[in-house]
Amino acid sequence: MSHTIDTTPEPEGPRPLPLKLADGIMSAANVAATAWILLLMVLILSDVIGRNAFLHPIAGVPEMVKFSIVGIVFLQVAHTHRKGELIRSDGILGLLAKRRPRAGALLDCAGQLCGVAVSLMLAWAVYPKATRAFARGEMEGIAGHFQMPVWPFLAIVTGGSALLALSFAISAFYAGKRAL
Amino acid sequence: MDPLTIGYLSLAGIGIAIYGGIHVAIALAGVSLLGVWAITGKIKLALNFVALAATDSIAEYTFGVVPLFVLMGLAVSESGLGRDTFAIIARGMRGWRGGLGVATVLSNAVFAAITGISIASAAVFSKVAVPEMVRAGTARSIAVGVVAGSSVLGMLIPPSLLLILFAILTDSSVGDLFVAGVGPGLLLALAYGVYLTVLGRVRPDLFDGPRGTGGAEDRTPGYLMLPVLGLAGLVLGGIYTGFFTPTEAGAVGAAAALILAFGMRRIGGREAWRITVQTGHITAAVCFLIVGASIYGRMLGFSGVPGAITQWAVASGIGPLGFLFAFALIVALMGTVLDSSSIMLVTVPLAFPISQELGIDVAHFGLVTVIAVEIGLLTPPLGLSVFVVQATLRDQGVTLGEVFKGAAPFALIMAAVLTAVILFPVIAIGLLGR
Amino acid sequence: ETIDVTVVAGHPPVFLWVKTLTDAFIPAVDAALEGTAYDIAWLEAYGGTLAKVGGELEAIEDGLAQVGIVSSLFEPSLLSLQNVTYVTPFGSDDVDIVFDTVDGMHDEIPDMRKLWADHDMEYLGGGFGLEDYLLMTKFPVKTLADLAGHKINAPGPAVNWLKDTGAVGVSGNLTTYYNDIQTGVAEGVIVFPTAAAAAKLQEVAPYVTRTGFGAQYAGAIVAKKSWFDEQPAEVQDALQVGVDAFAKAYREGLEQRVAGAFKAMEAGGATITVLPEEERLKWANAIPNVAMEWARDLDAKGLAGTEVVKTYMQKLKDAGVTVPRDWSAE
Ligand code: NA
Ligand code: NA
Repeated sequence: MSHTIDTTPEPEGPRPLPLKLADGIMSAANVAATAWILLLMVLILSDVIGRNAFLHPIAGVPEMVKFSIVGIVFLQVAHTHRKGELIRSDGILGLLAKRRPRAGALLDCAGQLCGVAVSLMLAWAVYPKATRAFARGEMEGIAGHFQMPVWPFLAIVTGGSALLALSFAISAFYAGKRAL
Repeated sequence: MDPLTIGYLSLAGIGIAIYGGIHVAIALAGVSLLGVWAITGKIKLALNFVALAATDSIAEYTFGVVPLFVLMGLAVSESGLGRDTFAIIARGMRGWRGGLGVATVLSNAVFAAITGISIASAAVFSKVAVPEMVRAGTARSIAVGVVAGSSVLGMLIPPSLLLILFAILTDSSVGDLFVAGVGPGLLLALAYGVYLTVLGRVRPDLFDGPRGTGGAEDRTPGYLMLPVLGLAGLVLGGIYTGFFTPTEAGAVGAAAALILAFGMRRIGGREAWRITVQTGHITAAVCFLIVGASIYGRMLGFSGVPGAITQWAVASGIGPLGFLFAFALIVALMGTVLDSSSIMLVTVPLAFPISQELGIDVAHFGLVTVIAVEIGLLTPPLGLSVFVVQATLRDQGVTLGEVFKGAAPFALIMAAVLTAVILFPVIAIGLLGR
Repeated sequence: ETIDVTVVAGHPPVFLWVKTLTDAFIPAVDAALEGTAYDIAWLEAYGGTLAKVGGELEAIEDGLAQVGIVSSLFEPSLLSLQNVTYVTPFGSDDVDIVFDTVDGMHDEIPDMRKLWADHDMEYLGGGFGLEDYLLMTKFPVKTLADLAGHKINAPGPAVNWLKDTGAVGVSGNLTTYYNDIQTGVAEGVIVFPTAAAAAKLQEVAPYVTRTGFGAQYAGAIVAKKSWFDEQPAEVQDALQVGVDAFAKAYREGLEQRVAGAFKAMEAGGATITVLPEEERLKWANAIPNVAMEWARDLDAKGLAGTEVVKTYMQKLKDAGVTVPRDWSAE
């Protein structure tokens, strides 16, 4: 039976404090996103029931659902990578890891470093959008019906990308160690 | 270097990066950044380009309900309700090799009437149907292939996110497109069924592997099918009586599945939380990939590659039939590295006016487009349905290569059905009376 | 000298305002540049290939495009004042009056230009929008009372037009109307005729009631200001010529399409009636004063909210429009 390669085989045992801290933040974001999914379910249900039973839909559900998905994805993406569940092709990497473990680790390390670069770039690119939206009070929705600010979602995209970069960096570090 | 060359080079870059083991979304976003930078010569512009695409590509109501459909699927499987259902079906199908696969295809066709997105079908059935098929002796590559392959029915049988997108891009009737989707959807389900049955005759060994222990199919009482039937009835009934919309069905279905599982004492609070976390991980992995693919789709459009290819196809002076085949081929090829929505955004606005000049029926063109686009869900290196199946079954040691291999015959069957739909428009627009 | 210009629009080219960019705006600019030392290499980025609907402003502001159609309708907070027609329903069904009025107000009320300038936009005009909105339902509507308890789909700001009417406003968009009505999630929709005919809404909501919500201003052509200011006078003038050609062609095209839409709806089995004037009056006075609520909210932000509503109403009256409710008079 073939196995997916474990992208982050990190040493067991006590972990250095910065890593523990990083794990803690990512887990907290993961908990927030998980609760958000359940809230989303309750929100849509309430809207359906309100509309049918009381002729009273909840204002703003489409807007909230639309932006929730952005929030959920970026809150959880770092934790998803931490658990080795971010999608990558494991064909060549797996083959190399089996035949030439050190070369495999080196390739893995390179891939993770690309991840660091791209997710940092993402955070860097979205950050000014978040501050701009905050400064000028950008809103989504309809005046007199329902409105919500846009900046918190952009802030989550920025923060989530930065966390993802951190997670990539941790994986790159361990892959690098294996390669040496 | 001119933009077109950069566009073509980027295609090669994507292939190398993905096979080199860079995370797919990262490869797509990174290559896009470099591409726009190379085209414009300005890094600031490239950053803005990526930022805009990253923040607005998944901000859609229809994506918002993805986690809820995934949650419904995981709740049904984690509670064992899906297993019960398939065990009972397996008992009834013992004389029919491939019968359980056919049952999966049919269940998918029913589920397709609930959801508008293929990745929801893929997530639900990988957890529910694959373990049962394997337990009944089906080779795992067949089992994952069936699930990935039949997930595309979600986009053909109405409601369908892609047909809605096509209607927006062409300002045509969603109602007509939905009706036109029924014929090809059923034909595809039928073709899958025939394939599985024939395969059962020709290669019985693929279905008679070692059976799982316990023989659940012998002991599961028939009434345990009721919860799942009830759930399907509730969701379908709710949609067709107008109590809620198909997009809202994810929330209703997830809540109902959780309540059922709690009520039958199949799961507790701890398991419910765990499957919600898993839901989040699958959603994040898939949606992050869609973000990457949309960024790349826009970059490719910006480079002018889709326009150039379409112009070339038109300039070759082919008739309606040749045009449809050429367009379908181009779309299917783009499907190797782009996600479905992005392909439609960069090709349909260019090709639609030409299709009208050639006198091709809008709904016919729509279905040809969507089927061709959906082939891409199954083809490497970027095949969303395959990714979802693998993401859901990762803990059982299923690899991407295995799922791609399993899905390949189904992609070929899709190509055959696509050919049939191109040659015989009546399959799509017959129900419309055209 | 060749100048590279990317034109952005969030909607795909089948929409009239986008099609008119290709068919009228660009050729007119090119023609105006003939004989000068300049020409433009256009890159047309429509329908989500660069920015989605509602993302055009950002695309231009961030330098990804130099010219574009910005839908103020989808920028309710950044281009708030431009949305005046959506908070003053039951205005005029004449697209010329509505588009020209809002266009012209940009020259009279500095705040309206300032909103564009704040985002580095040069307002070129060519205001475009949508024809007279109406009501389509599964059931006949002769009076306002007929709406009581019915769920009606409404796009964006139009949900406010259903407030206190007895109907239940359900947010929706063009792509979901047909199914929502077919299944019963909604029993009707507020919509404009060309969209309704394209989506064949008459099949599910055959009762078309011309309620006269009025034509609506939805946006305009703008250029990135810092880029525009750097262009030679010939190019600036040519762009202006193009915008004027756009405005003319768009309205002619719209007139034809609206006529075609009513024909198509009728041929598709629609029953088209006009809401009696006294019922229209009742409706207009049943809803809360969304205009002044909106205006005061903007006043508080230091924008000329009240002035915009007052000016708009006054200009409608000056143009000879009889309005069932003067929103600014309360
Ligand atoms: Na479907
Ligand atoms: Na693919």
